[in-house]
Amino acid sequence: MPEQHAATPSAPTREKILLVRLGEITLKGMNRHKFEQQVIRNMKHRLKDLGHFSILQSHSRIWLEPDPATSPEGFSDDDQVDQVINRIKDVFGVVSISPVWRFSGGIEAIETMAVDYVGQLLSDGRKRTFKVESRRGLKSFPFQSPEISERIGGLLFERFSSQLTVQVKNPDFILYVEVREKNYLYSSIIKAHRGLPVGTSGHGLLLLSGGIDSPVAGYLMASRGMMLDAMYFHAYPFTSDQAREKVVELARLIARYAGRIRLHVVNFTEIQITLRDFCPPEMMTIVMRRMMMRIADRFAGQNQLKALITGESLGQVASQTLEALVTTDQISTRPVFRPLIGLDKDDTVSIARRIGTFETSILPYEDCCTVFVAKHPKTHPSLADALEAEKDLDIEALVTQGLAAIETEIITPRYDDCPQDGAL
Amino acid sequence: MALIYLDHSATTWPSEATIADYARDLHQVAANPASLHRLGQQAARLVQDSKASLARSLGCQTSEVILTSGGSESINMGLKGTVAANPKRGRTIVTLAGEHAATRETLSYLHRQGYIIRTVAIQSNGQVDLGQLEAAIDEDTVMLTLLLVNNETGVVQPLDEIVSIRNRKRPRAAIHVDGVQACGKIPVHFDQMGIELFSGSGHKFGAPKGIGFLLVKKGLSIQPLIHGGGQQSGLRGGTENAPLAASMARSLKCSVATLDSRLLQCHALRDRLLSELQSLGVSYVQISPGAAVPHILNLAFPGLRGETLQHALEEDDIYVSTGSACSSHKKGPSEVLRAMGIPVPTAECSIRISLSDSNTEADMVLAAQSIAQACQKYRR
Repeated sequence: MPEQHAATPSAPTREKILLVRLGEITLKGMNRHKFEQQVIRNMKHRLKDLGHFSILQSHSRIWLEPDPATSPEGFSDDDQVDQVINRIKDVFGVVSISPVWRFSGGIEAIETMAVDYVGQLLSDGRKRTFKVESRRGLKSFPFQSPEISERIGGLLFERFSSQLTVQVKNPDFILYVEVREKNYLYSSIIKAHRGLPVGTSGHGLLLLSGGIDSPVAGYLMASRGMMLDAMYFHAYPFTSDQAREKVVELARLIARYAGRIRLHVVNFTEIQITLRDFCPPEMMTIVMRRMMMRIADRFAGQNQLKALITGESLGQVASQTLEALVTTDQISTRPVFRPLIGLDKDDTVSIARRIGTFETSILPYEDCCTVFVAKHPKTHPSLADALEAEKDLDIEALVTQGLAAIETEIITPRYDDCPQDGAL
Repeated sequence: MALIYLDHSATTWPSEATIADYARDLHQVAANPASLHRLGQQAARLVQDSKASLARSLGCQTSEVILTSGGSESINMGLKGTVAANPKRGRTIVTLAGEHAATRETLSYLHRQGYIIRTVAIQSNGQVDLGQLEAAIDEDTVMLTLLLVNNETGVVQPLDEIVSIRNRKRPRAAIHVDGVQACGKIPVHFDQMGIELFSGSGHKFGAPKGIGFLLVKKGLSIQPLIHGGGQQSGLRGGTENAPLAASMARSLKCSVATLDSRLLQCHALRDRLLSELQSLGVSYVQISPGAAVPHILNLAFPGLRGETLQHALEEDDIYVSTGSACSSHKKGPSEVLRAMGIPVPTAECSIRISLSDSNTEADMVLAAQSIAQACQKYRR
C-alpha cells in the first residue's frame, strides 16, 4: 500500500480543485498530444486575468487548481470556482467539469471526507435521494469499488438518516468516489460544449450578418477547431450604425467560444448603389451576394484564410435555393462551409438560444441584404442569369473598391463576471 | 455646419438657464421633503410651490397635481389606478387607434386582467370617427383614453366633441387624455377641458428627463401605482424630487408664456421647409394634415426608406425620427400611419420632423437641401 493511503491519525486536509474531462480529443491517435496542448493553451488564455493556475493533463482528464505555491488548499471559495467554470465551460474540447475535493489517506479518510462533503450538501435541511459510485484506479487499495460504495453509502445513510434516502435510479445526487494516487470526491458534473479545441483546424472567414444563422454557423465551425475571422458588409445609411453595433455584439458573443475574432467591416454603400442602378431588381440579391463572396474570397486569399463560412440553409429564402447557391458558390476559389445547410430553422434557433446569440440576432435593425429586396426575387437563377445581370458592372473595380474600404476591429470575449466596457 | 436638431418631440434639450437653475437647486435643496427639519421643509415648500405653478400653467387646482417619473408612469397610473378604484363603473375601456405605446401596452395589460378594450378607428385625417366613438361607449364603459396630439403626425383630436359624446352617453366614464405632446405646445386648461385625467412629461417641454405629472380631477377615485411612504397624499410613494419638480414647473411656465409666438414661429418654419422642398423639386407625401400642430410634420419620400433618410441626414448633422422614438426600435410601419390607411410602402418611407423655437429658417433651408441630396443619391 502506498504511504499516502496508510491510516492517518489526524484529520486529513483537502484541496478544492476542478476536474475537466476531454471528449473527442481522446480518440485521436499519434497527434492527440497536440490537441490536448491546444485545449490547455485555450483554457490558460481564458483564465489569464483571473490569476495563476496549475493545469495538468493526465489520461483523458485535466486537473485545474490555483497555483499550489500560493494556494496550497486549492480554490478558497465557491465564487472563484464558479468564475473559473464559467470561463472554461465554453472552451471547445471540454466535455464536462466537476468541482472536486482531493485528499490523501485510506478508507477512514474517505469516510471522514464523505461525511463532511455530504454534510455541506445537506446544509439547507432539505431531504434528498442519493447513491454512491466508486472507482478504484489504484489497484493496491484494499477495498474494491463496490465495497467502497457500500461502506460510504451505509455510513452516510446512518449519519444523515433524517435527510437521505438511497435511490439507485435517478437519485437527486450521486456521490462519486475515485481512488487513485490520491482520493477524489465530487457530485456535480457540469456539461460543456465538446468539439475540438479552436486552433487545431485552420482559420476561416465567417460572413457575418446581423441575423440568426451566421453566428450559429460560426459557432459550429469553431466547435470543429476552426479559428475565425468575420466579415460584415455595412451599407450606411441604408443600414444603421445600430446594425453594425449589433454585429459587433454578435461577434463578441461568438468570441466567447471561438476566442478572439478579427471583424472586418466592408463599406458596401457605394457598391450597393451601383448594383441597384445597374442590375435588374429581381436579381439584386443574387448579384449582391456574389459580390460579397468575391470580396470575401479575395480578402481571404490575401490573409491566409483557408475557407469561407456562411449561415445558408438550403431553401430557407429565395437566395438559398440550390440554383442560387450554385451561382454564389461558383465565385469562391476556396471551400465554402455551410454548416446549417441541412438544418431546420427551429434547430438553428435552438442552437442560437443555447449559445446566447438569439436575443441579439432578433433586434430589428435592417441588414444590407434586406434593403433592396425585390417583391418577387428570382428563386432559381442560372449562372447565365447571374452573368447577364452583371454584364454592365465593372466587377474588378467594385471588388477593389470593397477591399479598399475595410475597417478591422479586434473582438474579444466579454464574460459576465467581468464587464469590460461601459462608462460607469 | 452646426447641428440641426429636428427631433424635439422625442425630447427637448434643456436650455442653459434650465440647467443652471436645476444645478443650483440640486446644491441648495438637497434634503428630503418628508424630513421634519428646516431643510426638509425648505424642500417640501419647493415641491408645493412647483405644484402650484404647474396648476396655474395647466388650469387646475394644486391638489389635482401628482408628480410622477414621466409620461409612461402617468399614463399607467391614470389607466390602472382609475379602473382599479372604480370597479363598479364597468369593465370596458374605450380608446382610439394609433395611441402611444405607453397606452397600448397598458391597455394590453388590462385586457389580460379581464377588461374589455374597445378601439375606435381613426379617419384618413387622423381624427377619430365620432360616430364609431359614440357607438363604442356604453353602460359598461369605465373610462375613455386618447392621445390629444399624436406624437407621430401632430393630429389633434376634437376633444370638445369627444367630451360631449361622453357626457351624453356615459357621464360616469372618466376621460384620460395623454397630453404628453400637447403640454406647452397648444393651450391646455384642465378645468375647461371637461376631462378627469391628464398626463404630461417634463422633458418634452424643456425640463430634464425623469419627471412628469398626472392631473386627477377632484372627486375621482384613483389608486396609487407606487405604494410607499405616503407622499403626495398616499397617491404616489417615493421621495419627491424637489429640484426636478421645480425645473418642470419653470419650463412649463416659460412654455405657456411664449406659446403664441412659438406657434407662429413653428408655422413659419414648417411652411418654409415645405416650400424649400417644393422649390428643389423633391416629391413627397405630406402625412400630417394642414390642421395638425405646426411643430410635428410627418413626411414620406416614396422610394427612400425613412431609416435610410434619417441616417443620410445624420451625416449632415441633421437629426429627425422615423415614427416615435419610443417605437422606432420596433420593426414594421407605424401603427398610427396604418390606422390612417397610409399604404405600407409609403408609411415605410416616412420621417417625423419635429420643431421648436430654437430652430431657424436657415435650418429649414439646409434640411431641405440635405433631404434633396439624399433623395437624389439613395432614392430608388
